[in-house]
This record gives sequence, structure tokens and C-alpha cells, in this order.
Amino acid sequence: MKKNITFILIIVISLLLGAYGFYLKAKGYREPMEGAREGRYVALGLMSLREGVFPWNADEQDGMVYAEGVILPPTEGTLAKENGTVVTVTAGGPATEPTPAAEEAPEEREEGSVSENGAADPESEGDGLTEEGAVSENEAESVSENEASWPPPFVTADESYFDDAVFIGDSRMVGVAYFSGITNGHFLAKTSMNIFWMMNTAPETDTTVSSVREGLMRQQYGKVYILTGINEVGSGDPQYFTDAYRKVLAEIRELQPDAIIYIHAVTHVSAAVSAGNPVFDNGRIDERNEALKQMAEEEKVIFIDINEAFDDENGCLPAENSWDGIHPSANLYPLWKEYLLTHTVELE
Amino acid sequence: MGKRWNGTAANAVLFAGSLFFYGSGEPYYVFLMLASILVNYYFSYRIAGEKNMSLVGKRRRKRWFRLVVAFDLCMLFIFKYAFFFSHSINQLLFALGQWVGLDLPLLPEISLVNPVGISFYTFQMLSYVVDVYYRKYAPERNILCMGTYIAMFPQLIAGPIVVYPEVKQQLHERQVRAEDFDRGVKTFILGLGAKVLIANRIGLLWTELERLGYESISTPLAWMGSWAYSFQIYFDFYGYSLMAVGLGRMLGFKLPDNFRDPYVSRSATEFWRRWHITLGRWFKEYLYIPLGGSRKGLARTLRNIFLVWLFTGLWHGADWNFLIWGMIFFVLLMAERLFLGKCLKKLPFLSVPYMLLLIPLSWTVFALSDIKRLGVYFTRLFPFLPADYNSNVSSGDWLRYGKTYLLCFVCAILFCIPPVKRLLSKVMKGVPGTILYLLIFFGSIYFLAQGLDNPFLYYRF
Repeated sequence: MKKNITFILIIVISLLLGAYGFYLKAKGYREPMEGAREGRYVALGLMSLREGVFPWNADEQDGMVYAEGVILPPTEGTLAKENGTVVTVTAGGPATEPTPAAEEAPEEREEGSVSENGAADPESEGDGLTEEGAVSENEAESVSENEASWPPPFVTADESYFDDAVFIGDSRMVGVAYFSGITNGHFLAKTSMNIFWMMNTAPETDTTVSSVREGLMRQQYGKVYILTGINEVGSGDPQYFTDAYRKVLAEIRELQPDAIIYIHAVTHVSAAVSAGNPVFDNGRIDERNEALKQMAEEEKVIFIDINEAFDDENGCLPAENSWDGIHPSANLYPLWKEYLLTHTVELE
Repeated sequence: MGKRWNGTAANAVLFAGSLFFYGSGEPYYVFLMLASILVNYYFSYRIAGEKNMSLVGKRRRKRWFRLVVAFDLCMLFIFKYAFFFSHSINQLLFALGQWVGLDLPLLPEISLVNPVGISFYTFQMLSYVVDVYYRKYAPERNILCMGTYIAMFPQLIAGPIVVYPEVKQQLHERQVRAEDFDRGVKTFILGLGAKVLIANRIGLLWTELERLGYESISTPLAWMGSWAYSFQIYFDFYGYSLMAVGLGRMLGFKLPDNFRDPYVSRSATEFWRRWHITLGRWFKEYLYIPLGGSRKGLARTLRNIFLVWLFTGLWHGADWNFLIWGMIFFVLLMAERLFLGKCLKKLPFLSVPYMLLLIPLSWTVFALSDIKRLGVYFTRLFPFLPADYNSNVSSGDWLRYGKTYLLCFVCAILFCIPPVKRLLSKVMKGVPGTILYLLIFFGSIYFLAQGLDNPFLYYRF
């Protein structure tokens, strides 16, 4: 018996982890989404430690939907979990109030400080954000007078345009940072960045800040470029995506009130990847791009269809330009810089 | 004292379980393997059963022997090499036709998916029938035993290539003592850790370079990449071999070692005595020695070495880069046999740069089947070579990747060194040892769950 203690412990611990995973699954942890593989019990037990799900807060798991380790609210108005605090989410509104983690959903709603139409509730616990919410309301009103002329026409700029630019995004933006030839501007990019976690992500291209939010608080920029979407294609529908995007845009506007915000289209994958993969499918990507275009008009940000620079005649990333069908080869990134420079706008 | 298991019951369970495991991955090819087992069993039985030692009897034996060997090789050829063969011939025919101005007829190019492990189990079956034909031992009467020998799941997919005498006794009756079982579990855990915690992680660097496109990596990064691949393939395969040995021990078998710290070798000759030992052994026993080995003069010896490396290269993959890889070793081994070996013995310090170049460069050839991309990679490794492509290197890329992968490289290098391993085996005893083993095990499961799994590099062999 004693000689085989290792093996016995393995069995015992696996059973315990499996039981724990089973318990968490019963609470709704890691409901599989749209073709994502279902987590096995021991794996669930292990992943839960990483994601900060413990028996005492497992009750909140019911109804939470996971996208690659990031928590997504399944419907508007219910719980989401960001960075250890529970927040309520509304569609299209400014940032919401953080609330203590242990409370239940219905009570949340009533105490909730943000109402449906996005206007700030002056009686709620303010932390500065509510007042800025009011400010952004006014900005929205003034911009809406220019609705008829949105988006403004593209002009070409020279390299100095990027002097006061900040670039935020996922692994392609990392590629832009290192391979496009853009030497000015700041890059806050990280492989696997996604819109739900964006502001909290620690950029790999700039280790002097611990999050994108901190990078945006550090100084004022004239232009903000955002590239994301490919890592989120598997989670939810275009509406979820744009809802989360609006939240991020709202926060960015508060931190960078004078900046022009450019959002990239979700990039296409190669025909082979699109055909062979239910998630990374150019049809789904195009749906999101339509939603993004719409959102860009409403939010008064500039939509950049970067796919025009890379696509072949079928609207796919050409196979010879990419090894994995998702990322363009490093020697093509100068095209990105060129496209950005030929698609700038001037706002008075 | 452990439980003494009756061979038949144990083999039935092991055989059935192995077929089940294999069938889960290859629902159709499992029948191919079963058919092969039956054919080999039947013919080896007939070959051995032929008591008639007259000329007629001898001829009959030889005919059956040739038949079964042809069958085994044909199965291997069809499922693994047919496409490469027909495609290459067609390319030749096409070029010839262009030159001559005719539209030559082309062969049909059938492309079949490799059955997993076919290279391994075919070689095991061949070793068995060849030994039976040359009367090295009597054939296995019990078809369950023979089937278990071939299909045993610890070694079915990724070796080691077991010869029948190594497991014959245990197939009939085996015993598992508690400490053997424990040793097996621990060996398995080490193998799992080698694969998941070292190989899979350091392999990510190679994947990142693939994604960038080799035209745009700096020279230091190219060398880092080649070394990353070298470590990946070693710990991958070594990990699998350890897991096989560990599982074998847990089941009562003593499977042979496949690796003996190959990266501390001082020559290519020594390398191949320490890398994939059972394959080298197979080629020596069943190809080199039957051809005459080194006993028939220099010319014959060189021819024999050439053939061994031709087939060793091809065994690893059905493509030109594997042939080139085999030929590289042929040239080096020949050179070492003729003069280089003596040179290295006299000046042992030369071994260091020699192997430091040989290991990553030979694995780079092994890694890239696309000859064009291989060429691009070599121009990155050796920037003085002429290059003709659009390059876009990001300065300081190797520093960035170096920082990210520093820990991986340090661990990989440490675990290649025998003194480190000896020290560890002394340390990993008792309670702290058990805790370490558990950490390695569940750490590996954690990473596997996270999805950082990549298929075994020797997978389709």
C-alpha cells in the first residue's frame, strides 16, 4: 500500500477534482458555447482555480457564459464578472458601477446604478464615472448634429500622423508593432487580447504599463486605433460583440476625449480555414463587420476595412500570404501601415 | 510479493483494451492491424511448422517467408508511401514530357491517411517473422500472445520497437510487484512532464516562427528556433518513450529504453546509439547485418550504410527532406568511420562545435518538408548565403523571444545533462519526491486541459 502512495494519491486527487468539477458544472460553470468543447470534470476543477471560481461564489455561475476563460453575460442586464468584481451590464450605456461580489442578480438590478437608457443615476454611489457619463452624453448630442456627414472622407497622411497615435489590439496588432515599419506611436497590444477583457489586459508590446487602461490614462493621444474580433468570433453573436465594444469605446472616450477612434474590421481568414472551421468562418466574420460598421456610424468612430489591403478576390486571406490561414506573414505588414496612412480622417 | 497473473486472462484484457484504444482513434485501420496480425501469425506458424527439410520444403519455407514479408512491406508502402512515390514519378514524367515535347501518361496518385503507428508495428512484425524464419526462436503458438505483443498499447503508436524475446516470458506469465508498479507510475509521470511541460511549451516558439514566415526572422532567432525544435522533438519522443516504459512496467513488462541522453553525444555515430535506440537496433539486425554489415570490405560496408540511411530517412517520413536528412547522416557516419571519428577522438573539444551545429541543422532539415521554405530557413541561419525574397526582420526579435522562452530553454538544457538527471533522481525520493511527482502530473493535466496540446511529432510514423 505504502509503496504505491503516488498512484493512490493520483486516483484520490483526480476523484476529488472530478467531483469538484462536477459540482461546479452543476452550478453552471463553463456552459459550453456554440461548438466549444465541453470541459471534463477534472479539467473544470483545475480551470476553476485559475479563473477564481470557488465554492463560495459558485452560485453566481448559473447563467454565466464563458468565452475562452473570459466571462460573458448571457443576456443584457444580468451579471458579468470582471476582475473579481461583479458588474451589471446594459447595452450601449456608459460604464457601470462595480458592486460587491456576493450579491444575487435580482437584488443587483434594483440597487443598480445604471438605468436602461444609459443616463447616470445621480443617487447611486458615484466614483467619478457617473459624472463623466453625463459629459459623454453632451458630446454625443453635439456629434449627432453632424450625423449626416458621417463617416468623413478618407485622406492620406504622412508618417508623422502616428506621432500621437495609440494602437490597441490582438496578435495582428503585435505584428503591426514589430513588422509594419511604424516607428512612432504607442502600441498596447497582446496576443489573444479580446474585447471583453481589453481594458484590463497587460500589453506585451509595452511592459511599462500593467493594463491597456493604464496606458490610456498615462497621456492624451490624438488617435486611437483598435483591432480585435478574431478571438471573439466563437463567443455569442454580433450583438454581444458590439455591446461589449460600445462599453470599451465609451471608456476610451472618457479617457481620451479628444482622440479620433479608428476601429478595424475583423480580419478575414483563408478560404481553407474558413471552410474547415465552424468558428473561424468568413461568413460569421462578415456578419460582425456589418454590425461593426453600423456601430461605427452610431458611435461616431471610424471603421477601417483592413481586409481591403489583404484579401484576394474571394474575400479571403490568400493562402500563400499566411502560414496558419489567420495571421499574415510578417513581410506583409508594411501593407497595413500603408492602408492606415491612406485611410485617415480629419475632424474639425 | 505481487500477484502472479495468468497470462491468458491478462493478455485478453490487455489485447482487448489495446484494440479499443487504437480503434477509438482509427476505427477502420484497427481492422487492418488485426488482419496484419492474423496474416503474420499464420505464415510464421507455417514457416516454423515446415518440418520437411528437403529442397522442396526449404523452397516452400522461403516462399512463405517472402510472401509474408512482401505483405507487410506492401501494407506499409500503400498506406504510407504510395502517394509520395506516385507523385514524385509523375513530377519526373511531367518534366520529362516537357523536355521531350510529349504529354506522357501519369500514374494515379492515391493519397491515403497513414494508420497511426503503422511504421512501428510493421517493423515489430517483420522482426518477428524474420527471427522465426532464421530459427532464432520458435513462433508463438498462442495467437493471443502474439497479438498482444504487436498491439500492446504502451508501445503500439510510438515505440519502442520491441523484439519478441524481450516480452516473451511476460506474455506467458507475469507478475507486478508493488514497487515495480510504483516505479512505472513515476516513470510515466516523468514522461508526461517531459512532453507537456517541456516539449509542448518550447515547441510554441517554432510555431510562432512558422506563423511569422521564415523570411522575416533574424539570424539569432533562426538558431533559437532550430534549437527549440531540437528540444521539442527530443522531449516529445523521449517523453512518449518514458510513458511507454512506465506503462509497460505497470503492466508487468520491461520494455527497452529508447534514449540515453543523446544530446551529450560527441559524434553522429554516438548520437545514433543514444537516439531512438530500438530503431537503430532494428536496422542493424534486420538490414545491415543480413546485407553483410562491415564484414565484406569497405565498398560493401559503405553500400550497406547507405541503404540503412536511405531507409531510416524514409521510415521517418515520405518526403524528400527526410531522404536528405538520412543522407546527411550517411555522409557524416561514413566520414566518421573513415577519418572523422579518429579526428574527434584525438581532439575531443572539436565535438562541441560539431554537435552544436549538427543537432539543430539536421533537425531543421527534418522539420521542413517544403524544400523552398527549408532553403529560406537556411539563408536565415547562414545570412551569407544568397537570398531572394522580401524580408522584414523586426530588430531585437530574438531578445523578445529569448525573454519569453528563457525558462523553457534553461529547463530543456538542464534535463539533457546526465548529472542533472542523476541529482534529481536522488532528490525525488520520499515525501518531497511524491509531492513533486504529483505536481508534475497535475501540472501536465492542467496544461493539457488549457489546450496547449500539440500532436506528437513522430505521430504519423
